[in-house]
Amino acid sequence: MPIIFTRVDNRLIHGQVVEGWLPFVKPQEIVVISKEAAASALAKKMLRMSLPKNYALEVFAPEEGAQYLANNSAARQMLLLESIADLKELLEAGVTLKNVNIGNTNYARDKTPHNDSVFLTRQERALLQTLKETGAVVEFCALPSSISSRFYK
Amino acid sequence: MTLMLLLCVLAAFLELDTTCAGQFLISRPLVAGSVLGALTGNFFIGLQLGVFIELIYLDFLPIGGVVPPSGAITAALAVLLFHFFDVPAHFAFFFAVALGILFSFAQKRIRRYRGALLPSLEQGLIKGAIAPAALIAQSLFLEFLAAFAFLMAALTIIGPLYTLYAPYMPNRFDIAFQFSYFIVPWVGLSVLFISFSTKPKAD
Amino acid sequence: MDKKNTLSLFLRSFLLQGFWNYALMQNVGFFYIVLPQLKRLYGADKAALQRAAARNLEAFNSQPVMSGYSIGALLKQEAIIKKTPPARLQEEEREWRIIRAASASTAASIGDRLFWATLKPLSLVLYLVILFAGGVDFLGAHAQDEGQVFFTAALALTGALLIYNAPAFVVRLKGLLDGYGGDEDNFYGLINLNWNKIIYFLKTLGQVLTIFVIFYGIYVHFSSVVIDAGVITRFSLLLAFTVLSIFMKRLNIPNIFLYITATLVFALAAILA
Repeated sequence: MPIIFTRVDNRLIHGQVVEGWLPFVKPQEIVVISKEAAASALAKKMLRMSLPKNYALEVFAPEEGAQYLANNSAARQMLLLESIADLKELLEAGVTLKNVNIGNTNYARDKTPHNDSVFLTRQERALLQTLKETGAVVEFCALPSSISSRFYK
Repeated sequence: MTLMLLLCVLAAFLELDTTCAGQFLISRPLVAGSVLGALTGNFFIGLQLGVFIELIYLDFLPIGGVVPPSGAITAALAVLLFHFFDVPAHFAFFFAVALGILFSFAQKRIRRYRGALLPSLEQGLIKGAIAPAALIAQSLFLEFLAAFAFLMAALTIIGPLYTLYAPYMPNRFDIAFQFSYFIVPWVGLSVLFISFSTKPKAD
Repeated sequence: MDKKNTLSLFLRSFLLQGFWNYALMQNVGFFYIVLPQLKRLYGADKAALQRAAARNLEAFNSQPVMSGYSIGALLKQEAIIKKTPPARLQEEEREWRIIRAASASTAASIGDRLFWATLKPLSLVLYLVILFAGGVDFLGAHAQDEGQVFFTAALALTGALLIYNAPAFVVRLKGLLDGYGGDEDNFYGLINLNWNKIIYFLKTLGQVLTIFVIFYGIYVHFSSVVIDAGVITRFSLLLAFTVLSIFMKRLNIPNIFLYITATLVFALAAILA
């Protein structure tokens, strides 16, 4: 079982992830999927710095990420995606996901709030609906709770 | 009544320190409980309630958008219920904690309201027609008012209700609340220990 | 950056969360902090100032104490943007956004761990240690010498506030200066301190002090008690709840709900018994 947990979070590695999810999910490797971050040396360095040293880290654009995931599945992996757009590309590149946690997404004018920290366009809602229909668990929460423990163990 | 009003003003002011301004931790129950306890002449009880509230709220971290129950509001309610309405510490603690959670919902609403307000203010801010300082001042004032109103309402409702029902309360009830109050610091200390877990090792 | 501007940034940074909102988080607070600097930088160039204002009002979220690193780094990049010819403007603005996102969440990740998850509980345990050392039994209900309690508690409170606020003030200021004086190679000053090492040290200290408080508390409370059935029941219930609390922590259910549920169950049992 390579990918044990997938989260969409526009802030990538921050307090909610480090203090909340990592001790809960206990991954060995974090795979960040983000077009933006993969293209910036600074962003990559900063991500490494935000993450406690005992977790391995890889940063990829969606397509490279899909390739990496196909070839490396020894470690307990946690996927961290910057946006729903990155999620879409990753899925299109052939990655199957059993669960997706939507933590934080950017606010923009064409988006409507799903909850306090998740803002979605109509297309993004449709994408998540399709994902659900393929049998994946799609869950919206900022921090792990008793509810999420049912899905990610 | 005047004293209660003044102390509520002070507590509402301290509450601003929780998120909006400063964050010198003068809003933490430790400080709020001790200060209000000292001002009402119940220094030891204020201190104890402060420590207990601090311990029970330990595992709420204000990370991301999480709104933990306000320590200042909870400590103020506990101490003021004790002082003005003779509510014993073990009951005052329970009411205060429950009300503290209730107030965190109110605070969430305020944050949502500010977010909804933002699109209409954006252009004014960019063009310099609206000063960000003015917005922040208004917002602080609103938070202050909300905290003050909540404190006054909670005290004037819960206090007299307790006084009314206390004579009919079975003695065993008292023991039940006392016992769970007795558990609080011990459970809190074990959580405190866990919170210092060093699992993500230093390099 | 001269002293006057640094002071202005430092003081204003205490209001970073003054207009916290779910959509764009600390954006208005951030804008408030940097506005005088933007005005100073762009002077009479209204169009450029408005463009900068719009950019600086975008979403921002960091840990308040550590936000100085982002603020400093972004003001430095702002100065670069100001000198950039229009043809390359978008490129530098893109860089600015990368710095904004990366430094804010890196600083937040460190700050959440250091200030919220370590120094705040550490200041609490230090407070409890000083109380015990001064002979104040905060667990007990019995009357104690009020003067003694007051003096010790005042000392403990000062210690607790200092151990949190002194590093917080230093980091807040250092963040602004190092962020502004830094560059990509030193992560805008964020690597000037070995955060993981500091956190590890403070957490270990916290553990040691907490063990002291727990054992001293047990000693004070249970050493003089005559062991009878009542005490044994109380003690075993206490142990049961501690174990339950640790279990609930694994499920990420805050202790407060354990307390409320326990109280209600006890109360119900009291009525039924």
